Amino acid sequence: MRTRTARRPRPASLSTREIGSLPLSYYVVIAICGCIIAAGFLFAARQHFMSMDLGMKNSKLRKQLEELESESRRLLLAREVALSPMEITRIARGLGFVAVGETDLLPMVVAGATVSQNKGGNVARAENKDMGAQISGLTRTAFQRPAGPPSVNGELTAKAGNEKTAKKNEGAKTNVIRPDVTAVAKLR
Amino acid sequence: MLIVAVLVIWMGGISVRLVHLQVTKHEWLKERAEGQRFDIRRSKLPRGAILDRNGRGLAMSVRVKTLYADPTEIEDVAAAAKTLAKVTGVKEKDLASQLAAAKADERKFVTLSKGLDDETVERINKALDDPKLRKADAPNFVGLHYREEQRRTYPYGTMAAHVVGFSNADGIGQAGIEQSQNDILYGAVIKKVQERDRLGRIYDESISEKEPPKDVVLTISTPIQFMVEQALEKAVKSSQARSGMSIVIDNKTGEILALANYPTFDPNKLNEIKHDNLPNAAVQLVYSPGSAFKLVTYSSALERKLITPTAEIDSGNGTIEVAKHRFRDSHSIGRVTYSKALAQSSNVCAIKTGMRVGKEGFYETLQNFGFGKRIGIELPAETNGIVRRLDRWNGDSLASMSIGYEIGVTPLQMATAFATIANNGVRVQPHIIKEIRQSDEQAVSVTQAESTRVVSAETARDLKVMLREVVLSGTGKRAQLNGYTSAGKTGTAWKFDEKIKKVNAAKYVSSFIGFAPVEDPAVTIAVVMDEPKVGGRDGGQVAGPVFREIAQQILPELNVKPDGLAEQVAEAEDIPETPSGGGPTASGIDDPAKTAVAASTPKRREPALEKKPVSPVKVKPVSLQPSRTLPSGSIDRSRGETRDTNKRKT
Repeated sequence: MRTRTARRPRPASLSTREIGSLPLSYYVVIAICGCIIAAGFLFAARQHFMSMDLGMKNSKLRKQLEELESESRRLLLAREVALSPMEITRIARGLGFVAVGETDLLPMVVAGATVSQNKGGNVARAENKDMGAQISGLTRTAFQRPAGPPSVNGELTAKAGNEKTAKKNEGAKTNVIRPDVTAVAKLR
Repeated sequence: MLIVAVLVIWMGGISVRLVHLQVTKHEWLKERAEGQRFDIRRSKLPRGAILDRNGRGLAMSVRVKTLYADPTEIEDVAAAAKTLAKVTGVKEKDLASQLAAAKADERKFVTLSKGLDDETVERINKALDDPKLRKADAPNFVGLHYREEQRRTYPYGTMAAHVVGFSNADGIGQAGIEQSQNDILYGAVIKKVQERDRLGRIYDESISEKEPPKDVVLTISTPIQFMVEQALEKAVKSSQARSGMSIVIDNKTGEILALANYPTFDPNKLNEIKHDNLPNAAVQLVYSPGSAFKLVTYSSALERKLITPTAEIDSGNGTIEVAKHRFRDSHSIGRVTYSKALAQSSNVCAIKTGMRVGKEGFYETLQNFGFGKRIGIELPAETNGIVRRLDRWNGDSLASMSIGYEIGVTPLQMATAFATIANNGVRVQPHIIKEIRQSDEQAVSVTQAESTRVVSAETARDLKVMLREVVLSGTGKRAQLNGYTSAGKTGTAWKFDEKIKKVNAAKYVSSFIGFAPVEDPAVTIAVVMDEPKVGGRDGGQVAGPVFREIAQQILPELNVKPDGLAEQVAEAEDIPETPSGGGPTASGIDDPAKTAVAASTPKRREPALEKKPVSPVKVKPVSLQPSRTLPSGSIDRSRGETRDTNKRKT
């Protein structure tokens, strides 16, 4: 006699299910997660390169700032040098000017300067040693301000013909140093 | 199975390698990576500027670059030297040998050119650009680099050189404010940590620095300093003096508006500086003040109510003997008021007055005026002067000191004493720094000068009257001003000659110290001329005109209203301050070797003074009262009255 054993239906195991195709929703979820991760990577990469770029720009700006500060310092220095009395005096003397009051006491040697003759016919050279002996005991004061910007029409600018008239004028009481006329004329 | 095995082995190998690199070699790899990425640069901030009270730059630093070569990076030294020689102007042979020697020694620094400004750097970069080379820093030439440095410049040259001082190549101050305020001015070291990519571009930077340098604003006014220096130079040259000093102090604030020495030096040309011109004589020169010191003598007597300006004193025959030493006047003046005695600069009257005050009183007064100790100005190497202790005084010391001998003072101390009288007896601490500020012009600290009452306002007022008389009719006539009233005192003192070990009548120090206007003095001006040789010798003849010239220029500059009439300079005969004729005995002192004080400048440098912030002390305002006269019943000893002979007046 054949006995039949009724086979119980076995519950469907996971492996049986896995053996078959996965549901679509799983693929969708995996795809979405993958997209999120990829997007995250892209975002991070973008930020990274942006920060690198920003850092480089920052560095360039800092360098530019330093250069501008250095330039500012240089310009300030140039301004101070230009405004210093020594520089102004140098430029003024180069143009043939003499400081007020200096002609009586301490004449200086100016290029091409000539000296007029006084009444006694003595020609005083524009040298300190000769004039030093003529300084009286009383030093008369005079307002001496730092030399201003040189002006072509300054009071001590020698006009054309001054030199000739000064030489003719033998009645001059003091020795007067006239700047070189030609030097001033060239400027004009 | 085989494939799986291969895969397992392959992945295992990769894992092992990964662990080896990430764990075992972690530190080494990290170090290499950081070494490639990080770059540490150290540079100095520009040294702080020194400015005048109006913000004009007296000392400033600018960035410059030094081009140097690293021979270890250069393969072909000869070719590099050839190219560099064209650009830098250095001889090719010298440069080639220098680079070769450095390469052999493995030295990494060979200076090619120093102090390059931006324009020159641009030019060099263009000339040396190698298109085949890609380098992160300029110039784009193998083995060449720039190092940042700074150059200190003094735009005004010799102006206020002794005040500003100078700094050396390392940026350390060597004199003047540069030295005393070096810590404030010194550029801090900046540490930059830079991250670079593989192309050398900087993409991240962090900066750390110590305290940044600050700017120092002085009380010096450039226009006033210029005027003072011009006048001083002219006077020194015309009188062929050894040197000259001048100080201008604002009486009310104690600010030093000008401090000049001649001869001077140019801090931009350190190679040309003469060592003799370096010391700041205004604070370092110690000299016997002579008659100018009678200010202290009469101050002490007035303060103790022993005399009044109108009371009389008898100078006798113009000589006086104290402790077997004879002192005498330049000319006999007989019986005169104390005002006249000071105006005529009578030694006899001053000695008699000093003797009335007594040793202790006189010593106390001169200490109150600040003699014998530093003023405390913010300049280095200030000297105390020479004031002997009371227990070391001789029998004639009081007499000598009453006329300004046997004591050593500095020009600044004398100027401060006169400024005290000008400020109604209140001494305002002289100072030369107005404020310290950051580079963005924000003040960090502002100097607040301390005020101290030295003598009463009454004494100061009486003294002003007496000092005015000196200018009107005394030895200081040449200090009269046009449009302004002035007051002051002349001083002429023989110098102690160290070679002959006694006072040398051929060498003297002539001074005039005064203030203007008299009623409300704006400034005190001190002029000291050391060893004038040509022209007059007395302070009134040599220094008085310099005072006049300076005052005439700076009073309008300070917008001080004229308070006097335009008057001619008194061309009348000058009243001599010192006896004519040579010889030490002619000074009125019989034994100069015993009584004279060596005038010298200290050779040993003293440490720089630190600026101490001082808190202001409120001074009670003193109400103006008429000049004091002797109350009834008092005794006027100058008239020879005593308690026995005095008749009580009702």
